[in-house]
Amino acid sequence: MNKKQALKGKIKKQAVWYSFLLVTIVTLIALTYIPMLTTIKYSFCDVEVLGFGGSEFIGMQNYETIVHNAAFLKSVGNTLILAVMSLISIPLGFVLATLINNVYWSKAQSFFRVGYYFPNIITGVSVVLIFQVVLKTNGGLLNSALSFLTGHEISIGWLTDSHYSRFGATILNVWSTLGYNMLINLASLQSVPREIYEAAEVDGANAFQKWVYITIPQMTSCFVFLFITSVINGLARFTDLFIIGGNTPIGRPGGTLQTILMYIYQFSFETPRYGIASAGAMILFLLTFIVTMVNLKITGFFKNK
Amino acid sequence: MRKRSLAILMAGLMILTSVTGCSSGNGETQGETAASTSETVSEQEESQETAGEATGEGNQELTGTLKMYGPGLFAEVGQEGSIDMITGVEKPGYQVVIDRWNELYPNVELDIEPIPWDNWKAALQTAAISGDVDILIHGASLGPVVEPLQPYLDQDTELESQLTMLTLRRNEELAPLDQVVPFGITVTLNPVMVVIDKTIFENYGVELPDYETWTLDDLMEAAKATTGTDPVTGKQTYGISPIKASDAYKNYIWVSRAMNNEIFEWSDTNAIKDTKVNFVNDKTAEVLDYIAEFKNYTSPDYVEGLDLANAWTEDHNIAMVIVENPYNVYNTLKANGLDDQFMLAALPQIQDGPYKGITSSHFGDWHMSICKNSQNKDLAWEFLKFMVTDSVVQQWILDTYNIPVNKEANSRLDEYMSADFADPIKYVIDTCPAGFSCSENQCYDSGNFGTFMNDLATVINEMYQGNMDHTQAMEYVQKNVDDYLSTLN
Amino acid sequence: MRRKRKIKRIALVVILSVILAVILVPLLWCVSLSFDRRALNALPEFSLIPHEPTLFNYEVAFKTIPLIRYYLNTIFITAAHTLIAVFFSLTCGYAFAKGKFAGKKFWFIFMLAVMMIPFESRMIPLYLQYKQWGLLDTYAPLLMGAGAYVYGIFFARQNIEGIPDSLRESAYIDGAGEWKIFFSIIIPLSKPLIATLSILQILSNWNSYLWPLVVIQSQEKQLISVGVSLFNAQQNEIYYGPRMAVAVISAIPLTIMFLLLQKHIVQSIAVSGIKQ
Repeated sequence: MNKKQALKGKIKKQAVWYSFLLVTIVTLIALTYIPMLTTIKYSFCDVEVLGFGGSEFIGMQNYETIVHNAAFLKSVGNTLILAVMSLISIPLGFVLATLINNVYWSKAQSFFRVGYYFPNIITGVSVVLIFQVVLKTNGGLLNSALSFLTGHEISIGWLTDSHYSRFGATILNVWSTLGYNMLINLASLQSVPREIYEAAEVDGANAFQKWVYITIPQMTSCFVFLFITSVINGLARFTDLFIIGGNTPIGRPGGTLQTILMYIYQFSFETPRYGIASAGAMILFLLTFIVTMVNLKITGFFKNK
Repeated sequence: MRKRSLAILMAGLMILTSVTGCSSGNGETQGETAASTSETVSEQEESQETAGEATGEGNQELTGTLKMYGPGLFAEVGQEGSIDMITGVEKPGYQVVIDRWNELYPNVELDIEPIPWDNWKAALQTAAISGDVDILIHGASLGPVVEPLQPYLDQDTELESQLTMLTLRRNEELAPLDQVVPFGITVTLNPVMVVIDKTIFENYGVELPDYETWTLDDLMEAAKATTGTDPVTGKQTYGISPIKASDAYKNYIWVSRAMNNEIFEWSDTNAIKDTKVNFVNDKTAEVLDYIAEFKNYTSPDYVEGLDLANAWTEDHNIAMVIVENPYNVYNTLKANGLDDQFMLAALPQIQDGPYKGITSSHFGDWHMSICKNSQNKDLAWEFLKFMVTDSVVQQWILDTYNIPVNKEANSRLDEYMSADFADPIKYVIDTCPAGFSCSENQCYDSGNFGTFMNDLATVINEMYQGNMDHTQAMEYVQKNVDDYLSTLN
Repeated sequence: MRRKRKIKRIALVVILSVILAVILVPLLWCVSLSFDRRALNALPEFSLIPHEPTLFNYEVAFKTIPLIRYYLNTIFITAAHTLIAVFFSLTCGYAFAKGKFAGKKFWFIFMLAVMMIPFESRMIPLYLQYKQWGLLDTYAPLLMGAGAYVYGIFFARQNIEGIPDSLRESAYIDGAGEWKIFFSIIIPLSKPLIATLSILQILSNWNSYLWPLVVIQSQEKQLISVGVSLFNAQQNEIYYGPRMAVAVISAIPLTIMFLLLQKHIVQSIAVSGIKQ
């Protein structure tokens, strides 16, 4: 009897916890997992536009096609290169955070925190519109500044010359993510226990040594976190590059800015081959899944508890 | 632990797959498609009566709601009209069209949903899938989604002769691939032409071209001669502004046509996948080099699409601008009081091949198509006819500064603009063979060869930047086309 | 010694101010452009003060499209979406942080696994589903997804884990159930978290374009992002001034929100980063 009651109580407790999750689970199944199953299904079919014309089962053929398709492989390469280049934002954010952290005057500190974070809230078309002007080849702000600093006339096509476009796109990305990275770094910096520094001071460490031997090791978990989120965001990069390419998914200039997602978009809508697009989507899913799992492993999710 | 949870996850996925995997539908839409073609005959008699001039009463018999969706003119002018705040140019809204339609068909409601051009293909495709859209505005490129119009045209035999062009596409199931078949009714024409600043030509002592006979070389020489410091005003001028760099493939269309660079070798099987695309050849190299040469005579801001910043104003500094909307440009010029300073010209003549001697100008268009899974195809067809034959609508199109496809209406262009503009447009309309549109022809095809169109734009811009020569450019495009064709089954 | 340190700090402030100025200059220029009568299809020379100050660009924007209408629609959708999303990410976050139940890890992975599935890649199947449910051209497709804000759940779990268990235990002794604890303890203690999740939600929804474009067909229901695009379509050329004006208008609510909530945001974003 007692046992039964205990069991009942246990079940009830479980049910309560599940009631917290219910809506989200249902939403995810209905709006994410089921559409994804459709995508999986069509990744094995030869279909152009969903709902029009036949869809014939062709096994792994879409996958075979896509992994041998130079354009797809290039888009994977582009995505990775751009994601890696965007990582520069993390050390920059760290340096910035270090500087701000050394301004002990708290009013100034909070002013800088807000000021540097501000660009992060400007999103979408506006950013690209702004940067098309800033990064303009002739007389753009950046080139003018560079010309002024170097004394030479500089006219780099940051967003139009395929040799420089990845730098241009990275500048744009860093501009909008720097504030976020700074903020996380700063918080992490400020949580390093004072005592460690004090002990080091007793041992006669100078500021630089403290920075190298104490600060940076203490920041590892913060860097890992930023690294992972940055990579995941990089894998799904789309909107800004889509607009830079003149609202096309071809990754202008020279195809250097076509990410995997843009490739998928291309074959979903521009030249509809939904089967191929679905296969691409599955590969992209696999990549993000792996990164997410690595993230969980590093953060110790699979251990303890 | 990790392995187990992964296993559970996978198992869960599998179960879900088996339950829901094949549920989402392409079944429903297919049946309707076949059924509807046969209905077209029945309502034919009624439509004959209304195609012409309006009778006072209107057609009471046709009932229903017609829903249309898509980008272009309707979005541009809005329902109530638009005023370009800068030039003050005013355009009437599409309420005019709705009012007129309601006069003729009081029991048929029009539901027009215009969308912007940004992401329009994605939006159109999803709208078509939704199944409650009858007319896809500018939808002919969505191959499998739109209704072929030949059966309808066969019944309305007089219609075609009233129109300057139709929206034609290749289709391996309906016709031999060297031919094109109608998938849409063109409503407005956008001829690709050159606007010439007569003053700049004069200042440099360059003779104005005779647009009926000038050649590609003449155009290039004029561009060359008018680039530099204007001997009279002392200002920097540029010879040419080709069609904007983001649409660079459109420059390929007219130059390749002028050189008659035929690249398609259709197969006996009449299948796209068996087609040979001979893009790598000497003529292509010549075409690409010709376009890349413009680089020397354009403003450095051209690639970023910013070279027309001062266009059509007092500070206009480009001798020749290739435009797709000459009527609109004319009105901007007129609003600025500068129309006398400019003239319009057709693009240079075709050097070779079956069309030798006529202009290489072609038409872009704005068109309407019928959605394959529409329930109201006949009604939709009525509307399409109405858009291109009704006199009130034609007037409305002219008032929005567009060129109607209707021959009678576009023959009156000289009432709306000076001869310097009207005559060349008429020349292009008169000489251009039907089906000479920008999307699909012997030298070019925008829809059937994967990323061909976008790849052309990419390589032309790369050549412009000096990052590719014509050999690399040709190989780039050829590889992508071949790759694409190899994926077809 | 002390003086030296002070000089050092002032130098630091100056350096940081200069960098900040560089970063913010593009934004300020855009605002300036939006008030500049000379910013038409040619960009006037760079200047932080309009060459010819005017409200003309804003007039154009308001006259050409029903901005107010789009505004209200967008505010409604954004607010509703944010409310739903934040609420359910807190409930899930709470369960994952403090709950003990079977399958906890499974469900957590179940959620995280799809966290980053790009929306574009499942858009068409999703659209077909809403079609089957007859919900196209309603606000349902824009709101229903809010129930699964996975990043928020992850974020909330991190934050709620930091709330000491002792608070919950004393509530248990008073006989409170989990939901009661959730409402009376967790929510009041999660204000910075709520602020952050809200702003992140608002940021990502305010400018969403593709999905509203395809699911909303009636113009009067449309959102501001699509409205902006329609506005641009109605002009013959790229007019920088009016474009910037529209961009500024559509960014104002975000800016205000950010300035109001910035203290919480900064705090809570920071917390999420440290807690690994």
